[in-house]
Amino acid sequence: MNVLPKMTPLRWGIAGALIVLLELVNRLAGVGMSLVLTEMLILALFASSLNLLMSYGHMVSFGHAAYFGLGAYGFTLAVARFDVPVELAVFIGPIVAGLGGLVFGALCVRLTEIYFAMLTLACAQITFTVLFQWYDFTGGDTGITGFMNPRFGLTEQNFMTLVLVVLVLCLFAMAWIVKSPLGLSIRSVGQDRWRAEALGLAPRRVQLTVFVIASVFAGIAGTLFAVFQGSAFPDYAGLGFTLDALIMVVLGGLNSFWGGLVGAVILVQLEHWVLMVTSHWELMLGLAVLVLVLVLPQGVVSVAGRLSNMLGLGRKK
Amino acid sequence: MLFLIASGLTLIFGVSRIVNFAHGSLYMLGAFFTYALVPLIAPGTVGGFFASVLLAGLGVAAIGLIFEVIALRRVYGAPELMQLIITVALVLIIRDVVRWIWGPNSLSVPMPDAFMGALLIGDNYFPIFPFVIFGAGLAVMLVMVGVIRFTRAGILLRAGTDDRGMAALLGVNEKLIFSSVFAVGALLAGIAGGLAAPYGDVNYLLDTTVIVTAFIVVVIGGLGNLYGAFAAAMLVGITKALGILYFPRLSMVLIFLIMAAVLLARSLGRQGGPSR
Amino acid sequence: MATKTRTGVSALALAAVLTSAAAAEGNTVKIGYVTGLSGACSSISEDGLNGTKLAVEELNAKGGILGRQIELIVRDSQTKPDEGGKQARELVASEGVDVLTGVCSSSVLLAVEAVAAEAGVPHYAIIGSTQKANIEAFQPNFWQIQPNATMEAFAAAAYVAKKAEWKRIQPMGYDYEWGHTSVEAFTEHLKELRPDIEITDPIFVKLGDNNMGPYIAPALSTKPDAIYAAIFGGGLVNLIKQGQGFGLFERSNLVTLTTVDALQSMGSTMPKTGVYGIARAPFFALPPSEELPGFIESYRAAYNEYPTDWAVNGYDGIMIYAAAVEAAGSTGMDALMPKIYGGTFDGLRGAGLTVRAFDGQMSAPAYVGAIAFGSEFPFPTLTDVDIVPGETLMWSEDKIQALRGAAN
Repeated sequence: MNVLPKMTPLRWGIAGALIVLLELVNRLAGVGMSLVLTEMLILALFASSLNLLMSYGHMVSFGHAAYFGLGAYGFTLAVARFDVPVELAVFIGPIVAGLGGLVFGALCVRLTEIYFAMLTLACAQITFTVLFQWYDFTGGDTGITGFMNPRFGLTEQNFMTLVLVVLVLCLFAMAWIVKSPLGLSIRSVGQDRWRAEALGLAPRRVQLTVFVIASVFAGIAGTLFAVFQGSAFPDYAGLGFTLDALIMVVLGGLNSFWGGLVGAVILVQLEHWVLMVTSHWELMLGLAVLVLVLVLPQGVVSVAGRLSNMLGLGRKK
Repeated sequence: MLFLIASGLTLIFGVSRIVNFAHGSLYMLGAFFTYALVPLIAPGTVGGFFASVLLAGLGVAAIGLIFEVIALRRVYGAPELMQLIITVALVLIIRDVVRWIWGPNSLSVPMPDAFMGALLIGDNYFPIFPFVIFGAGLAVMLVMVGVIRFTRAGILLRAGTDDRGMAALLGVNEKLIFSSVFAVGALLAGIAGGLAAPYGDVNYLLDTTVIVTAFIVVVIGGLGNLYGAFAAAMLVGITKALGILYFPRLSMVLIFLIMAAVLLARSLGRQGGPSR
Repeated sequence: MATKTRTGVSALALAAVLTSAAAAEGNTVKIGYVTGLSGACSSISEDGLNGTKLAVEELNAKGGILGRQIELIVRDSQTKPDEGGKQARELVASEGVDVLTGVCSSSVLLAVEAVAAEAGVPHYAIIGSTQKANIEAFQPNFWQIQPNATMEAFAAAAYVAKKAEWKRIQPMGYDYEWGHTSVEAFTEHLKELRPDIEITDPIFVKLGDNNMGPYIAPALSTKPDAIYAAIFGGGLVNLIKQGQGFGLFERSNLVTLTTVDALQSMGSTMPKTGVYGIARAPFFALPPSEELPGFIESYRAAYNEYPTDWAVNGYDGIMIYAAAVEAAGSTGMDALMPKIYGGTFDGLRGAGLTVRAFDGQMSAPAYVGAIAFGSEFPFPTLTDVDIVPGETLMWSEDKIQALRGAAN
């Protein structure tokens, strides 16, 4: 498996150009588009955190939204219930998500494969149910609203720029982790835990580490989402967000660093444009996923890879 | 009732290793087909009702079969995740199509006249219909156990579950088994949906309410374990009833906790200690 | 439990734009309508939208508001708060709507209200009716034209209190914020009115649970004279259908929400006796007025069905807004809000309704009556309907302020 796409100067150039392009669209295409882009980037971060877990750790989670929700609620509750200043609270969200990841992860890594996935599902549903039912503290199903100015009071465009910066920083951090010695352990445990164990690694500890890291990034995405919406609802920790992220990773391309990112772009843009033509978004999404998975089981990223190979931009294997 | 849904799900998983997210959707289809059929076939009579349910189940089985052949079959070799995502796609498609055809409103399937009302024993009322569902579910289970135990199809099925590779080596047609198992699973889901239809309301969001509970039952019973699913369906039903009485706010959390505990206990028990 | 895919539930965000010649010039009054066309709210959202469309058509035929045509821009919230908030934000940012409305479900209502308050856009509620929007989340851009959740529960309590022969009441509710609030408000009000009545511990029903047996049996085990159920939609259908198997209606009575759509979908499965219903705006029990017959007739002509409570409120909502804008001479918030809070409004639900400035609640009446068959309509209706005036159902300003203090 490719560790990371090799960043040739040309690729850096393309990446930089894409960032500039995004920012230009943000500034020029109207506030409505800025909102769509902001949501897209936040979900891209969320999907990338799941991708880190899946593509490198080879752990399929059915409950990743729990940490997205914990991030959102960690931030929101800190501000609304404990009067923590907003600047400080943005760090509490990811920390809460990381702690949640630590507790649940410690249980989940005892299992493997489908049993692991099922246990993550159970943990996520417990999180969701608690958020949904603890009215006095979490506001129950009606959530928490109106506790702060959405987007820190920034304009839509400026907030989108902020999210873009955070996303790029997080992607750098993820890339750095993947390349680091820790990343090496993560990958080797992901590929073959027995051999990794024989080599003196403690698979469970490594898996727990990557689980917590992925939870923290999901928590950052959740915090951003709560800031963006100016509210927090139990849905954020629900199965819906988990499934969306799973679809994004698979659509974008499993086993690729860019999978989550590309998938989020495709899904959000698809939704935005399909809805202008037809009201049957669900049907369209279902068919699109079906066709894409059957035709491109490696995800959309693989096409980009093949294309760039054809064009002679390819990475050296 | 829960058992019927869960047994189909666990059967499919046991043989094909597919986590079928669309199982709730197949259940829902069964309910809607029954809604469409009941007024056509001797309305109000017991026979008409069961005939409708059976036909609805067969219809769902046919749809399951078509789906298996055109989509699922292509990804058996792929990672489990691909199969899962494909079934999620099916969930979305079925839900939208159902909403398209029947609209978003809750629909009501009339109960056969004979099953309305209650038995009065002393001072206690016992509603008839749940017993009918339970009886029908039990009958279906007995038929299934019979098939698995005593027929050639059942032997092949058990062979497939125990050791897929070996069964294939021995010349068993794997594709045929997978297809028929998926169809049977769909049939069970469809029948379950049809049977339950008159008891509650029928709407296009039934799928999600059903699938999560079905997952819990299947996991607690042991993935792929038919008898486990039966015991787990009982356990979940009883836990819910007791939970409502004694821990009203925690009953759902309680069920998920059981699920988590079962999973963890299993990892220790079956796989030989924490070293794994 | 909300476990649908987030983008999954199909979306009708397509701008269903009702335009006319004037709309093209951009000089229109834009109504941003965010509603749950898909998801849990879909059926009642559609009714509300139908009533709204009818009102818009009528107003436009008469020349619109302030001589400007009305443009209705519809977005689907998918009954999800984040999606509703997003749609509302887009309507404000891209379309520059003059007012937001249409929201169904408490959580989406609060999400949309947060957006509207931030953007300084007027917002009124016609379906979602959480009292939180009047209390802790209240902002002076908001008004609510229907009785909110606690008012409906108060109306139920007032009705139950009148039944002298009822001595023991079992409350039941959906296990989420609205259900709990309703049960608490009901209990509180009933205790005030009838200290002699025994109220047993409430039972809460998990959302989306199709099997009501485990709830019905314990509810009946206390041998109550009546069960008050803060349950609606599919759950209510299940409760009534399955309750018959437990002899609920021979052994006890049921007081619950029966809007016209519920009465229609229940049809012949509704028991003949023992059900008492609270409704928001049942067309057959509305006070006689000049407009009412015409409204029912044109609604039936347009949609081939009787108007439900949601349709009536959708219609009334626009009419109230139009009247206030005409009085203010502007759609701007600063001019409009004093007219909303200071005005008196006539609508299908009666004349002389007012909106309180400190919580945005309209003095809307609630309707309570007994289920009856054999009327001129092809579904059960309510008979001996008490129209409970809104004023008697609303918390005082002191109480509201106290609750706000406690919430912060």
